[in-house]
Amino acid sequence: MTEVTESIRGQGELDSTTFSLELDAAEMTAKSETLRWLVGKEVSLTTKGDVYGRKWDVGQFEEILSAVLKREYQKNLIYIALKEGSTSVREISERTGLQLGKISYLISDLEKTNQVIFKGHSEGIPVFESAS
Amino acid sequence: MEKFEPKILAFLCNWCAYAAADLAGVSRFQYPSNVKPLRVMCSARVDPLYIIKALKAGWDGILVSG
Repeated sequence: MTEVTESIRGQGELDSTTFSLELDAAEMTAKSETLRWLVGKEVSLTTKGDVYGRKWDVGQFEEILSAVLKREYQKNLIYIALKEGSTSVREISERTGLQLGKISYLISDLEKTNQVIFKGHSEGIPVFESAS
Repeated sequence: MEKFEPKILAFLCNWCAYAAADLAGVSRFQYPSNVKPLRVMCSARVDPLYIIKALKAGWDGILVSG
């Protein structure tokens, strides 16, 4: 406990308002159906195998789980940034720190699930809005 | 300047880490007072959401031990 306390003391105070976007996105990811579904399938996929009879290696499964969760987290960052009022890909990039190409790619995913709506163009710039 | 005292929430497993913390107390070993122990019946019971919510609630650090 002394080591943990010293480590956290060294990192300084956590101002949760500074990281509100990241914490909200992480909370959405942890609550997501995707995470529940994947974790629920882990034991059967790694012990019995999938519908094709392929048994998954635990390491390989966890690698995929991490990649899926990273993608979910980034999508949630974009969704929250849009909810907070960012409208263009460039504005979202400034708010979230994600790369422009990555945002365009993930926004199309969010559009497919009706979480984000394309509102048209404003001065030649594509404008988006969160659906709910 | 005043030394920063972090607020740490510790999720401790009833059967090992909590017992260890309890034993440390009974044996009068000293450990930092800014760690708030929270006993859970198993560390696997700790949902990642609890950790995120604790950070949002203002804790500086979280320890899950079991």
